[in-house]
Amino acid sequence: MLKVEHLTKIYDGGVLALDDVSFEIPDGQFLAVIGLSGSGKSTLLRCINRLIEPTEGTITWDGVDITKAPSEELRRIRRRIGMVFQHFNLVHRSKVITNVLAGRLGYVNPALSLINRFPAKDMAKAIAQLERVGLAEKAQSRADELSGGQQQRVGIARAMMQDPQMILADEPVASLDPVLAHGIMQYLEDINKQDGVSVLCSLHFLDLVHRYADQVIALNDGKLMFEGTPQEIDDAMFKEIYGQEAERVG
Amino acid sequence: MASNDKETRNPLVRFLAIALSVSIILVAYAFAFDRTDVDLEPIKDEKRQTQLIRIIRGLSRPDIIDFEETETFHVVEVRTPCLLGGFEPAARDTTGPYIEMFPTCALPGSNVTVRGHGFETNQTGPLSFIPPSNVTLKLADIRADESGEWEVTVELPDRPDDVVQHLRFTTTVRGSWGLSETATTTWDKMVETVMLAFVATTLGTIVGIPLSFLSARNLMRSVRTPLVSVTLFFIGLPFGILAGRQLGRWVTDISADIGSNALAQLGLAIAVALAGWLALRLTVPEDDDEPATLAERTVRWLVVAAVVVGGLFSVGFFGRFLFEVGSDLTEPLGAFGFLGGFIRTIGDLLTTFLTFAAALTTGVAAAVLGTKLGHFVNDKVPTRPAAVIRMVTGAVAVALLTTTIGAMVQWMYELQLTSNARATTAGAILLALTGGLVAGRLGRVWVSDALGGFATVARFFISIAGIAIGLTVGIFLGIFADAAMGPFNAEGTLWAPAALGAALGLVGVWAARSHDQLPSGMATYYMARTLFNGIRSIEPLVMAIVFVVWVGIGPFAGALALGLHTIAGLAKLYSEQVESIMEGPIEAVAATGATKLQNIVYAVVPQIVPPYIAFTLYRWDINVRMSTIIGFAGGGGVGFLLQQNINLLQYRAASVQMLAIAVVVATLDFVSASIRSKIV
Repeated sequence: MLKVEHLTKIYDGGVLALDDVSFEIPDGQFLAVIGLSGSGKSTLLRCINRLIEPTEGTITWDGVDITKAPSEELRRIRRRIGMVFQHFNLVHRSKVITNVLAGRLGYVNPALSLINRFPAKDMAKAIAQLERVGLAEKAQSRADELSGGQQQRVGIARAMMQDPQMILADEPVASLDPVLAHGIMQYLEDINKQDGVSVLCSLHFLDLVHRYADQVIALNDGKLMFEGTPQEIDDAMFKEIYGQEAERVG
Repeated sequence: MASNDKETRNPLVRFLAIALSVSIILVAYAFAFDRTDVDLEPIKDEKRQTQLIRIIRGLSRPDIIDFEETETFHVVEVRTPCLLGGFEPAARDTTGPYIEMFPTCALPGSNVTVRGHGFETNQTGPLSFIPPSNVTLKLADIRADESGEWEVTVELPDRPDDVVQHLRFTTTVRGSWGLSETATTTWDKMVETVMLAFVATTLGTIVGIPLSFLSARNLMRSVRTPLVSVTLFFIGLPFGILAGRQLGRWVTDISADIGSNALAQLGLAIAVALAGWLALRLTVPEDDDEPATLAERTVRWLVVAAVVVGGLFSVGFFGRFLFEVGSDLTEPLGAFGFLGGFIRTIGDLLTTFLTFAAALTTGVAAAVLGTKLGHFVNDKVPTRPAAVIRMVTGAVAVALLTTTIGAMVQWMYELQLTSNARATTAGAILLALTGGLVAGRLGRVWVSDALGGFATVARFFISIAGIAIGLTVGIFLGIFADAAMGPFNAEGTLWAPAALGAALGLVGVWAARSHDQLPSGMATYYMARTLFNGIRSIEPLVMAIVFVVWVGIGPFAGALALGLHTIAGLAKLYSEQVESIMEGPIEAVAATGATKLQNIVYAVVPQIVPPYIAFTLYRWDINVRMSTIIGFAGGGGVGFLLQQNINLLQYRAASVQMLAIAVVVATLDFVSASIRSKIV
């Protein structure tokens, strides 16, 4: 159970990115976060694993307040939260297998990992995760030789290396075409349903929300506008989230 | 409309404005000409023109090639004055070329005829008189006719003697061509120059890479450390360094006691290293699943400490081994003796820097331990005891710092101040800082954030006021103390900065908020940047002067000077490269729970390898160019020859060195450019 209470983020320049946001996700839920660009979706996701330090509010996960965790404990929290990014964020010049193994960095001995040594079971696990996303034969390729869809699958494999209890997906399909988008979303759905991992996923397209999400929250200008099931988003609600001029497509 | 304004402007005003700016420019040029001594007289002077022509001609005929020349002497015995009964010179081989004099003896100063027979057509050469002292007194330049005969009338020099003297005609035969001596020495020095640049670049790269991470804004910005960690860092560092230095000396002594048995040294080195590796494998787990208990942590730290000591021993033994083996190899290797010398030097390097490395390692380890302890205090210790620890460590840390600074100032400037004058100065400065800090804190409390930019300005002025008040109070206190107590005793010079530092530390801790995370990353960033800019602004030529005093004239001094400059230059270039990498992978790796160091290895390093190689090559290129002139300051290399030849007015030789520099720089430029284009 992840509980976000009164979360506020003000950036150094004075920009209010999140304004008193509160919500909950029970374990195993697929929660979609929607809203316009700049509405605070990315900030929200990054506050949860504190890639961005929240200004105020608390984030409680399994009874532990993430916002108060000292650095050593934060590392242990982060390693149980996988993250998938819009631009995949792979290290281009490294091999695919190295990118996937990087997901284990929170678990292995820091000193040994510095000389690129991973335990044998982690190597086997990395191959298994690559097989799961159908890229086992690309293990020794350089990451930038892969196509966008393949790179995102490597990103998912990297997140799965963390044995996560939750995955934060920041617009995972926004840089991909619709067919690839469904492919990636199906991997996330599979992880959510098969492995029981909670997924917190920001999305642009409502059809994807309807197809994959159990629950939706909507942000507008850093404020929480809506919380409910995808079916509850009617035309009036849509206009409130996306603005009066918005046209509903798809 | 702006354009309209221009058109409607009064033409007279425009004219005056233009006239004014033209006259300002003219005055500027007049001043510049005056200051640069622009003077056409010497240019027109004929004597100077002849000199210029001589130099240009010298430079345009580089002394690269010369011909093997064989000189042949043709000698005839001579008496001057004649003895009674005349003189018959010893018989000569008349089948080949020979010379004769008529008469065979004569009074000094009288005219004689000299003939040559059987020479080559148009053979030339000098005819000289050789007295018993063997000096050469040139009498005439000879040129034989088409049949190889010549005849000349010369005046015998005024060198009367009663022994036989000689006339000598010297002919020269030009043989095969070859490189001149200048060319071969230039080649030798050029090799030295390139190698000097190579060593300097290596030094700069090795030291520059770790420093570049410390001076990359994007990596350091997020590094914040609790106050206790910072103070414990500064307490741990000096004690660690002192302990490490002692340890290093101890290890050096023991490894020297082993004797010169190379096999024993190598065996010990390997055995100790293996033992350390095994100990690490057994105690440090591959996985980091559960947070380690305090006992486990302690055991690990102890094992790591033991392994570090073992490692130092291993390095010490290995250094001795290399030294011995290298010394033994130098003779038998012959032409490749420099390889033995290299091994020997590496061994020497390992043993020499062992103490330094030990001090550094232990210092850093103690500082890191202090930082971790600080995190523990900040996170786990209850508020009140933590506050006490903060106060105490803050006071100790700043006192250590001020004492160190005081000692450094004293060491460098050997101040002959009375002790209380020194204490007064230190006190005034520290009170000024204290005032600044307190005022800064008050400014933060008094001035509301809502004022925006004005708040910053207001706080700035409040801080300045605090500094001024502190300074005034400090000076008056000093005067008062001087009058009231008289001079402090000798210990006062040590304890005064310490005590004032402690006071400053207490105030600093009080001024900081209890759980403030200090921006230690940005502080490191600014310190490193300032240091680099400082070092970079000193020309290697100037540094070479210092190093020449330290290690003697020669390429080693040049390599050290260039190396130091390269460290600063490369660290800056590298760090700017780190600042321009993609942030995405760093974010992604941080999200997996990786440590800062893991993040650098997995997300930063792969992105910067190609630019780092490119910059290193580029720097080598620069270093070759710089090392050609570092010899001017005694730093070895081709510049040494060049300067010598210019000073001796040997322009043909200087021309060879200039040519060599041009060729080598152009070649390296081309080579490094093509390697860079392949990598990036």
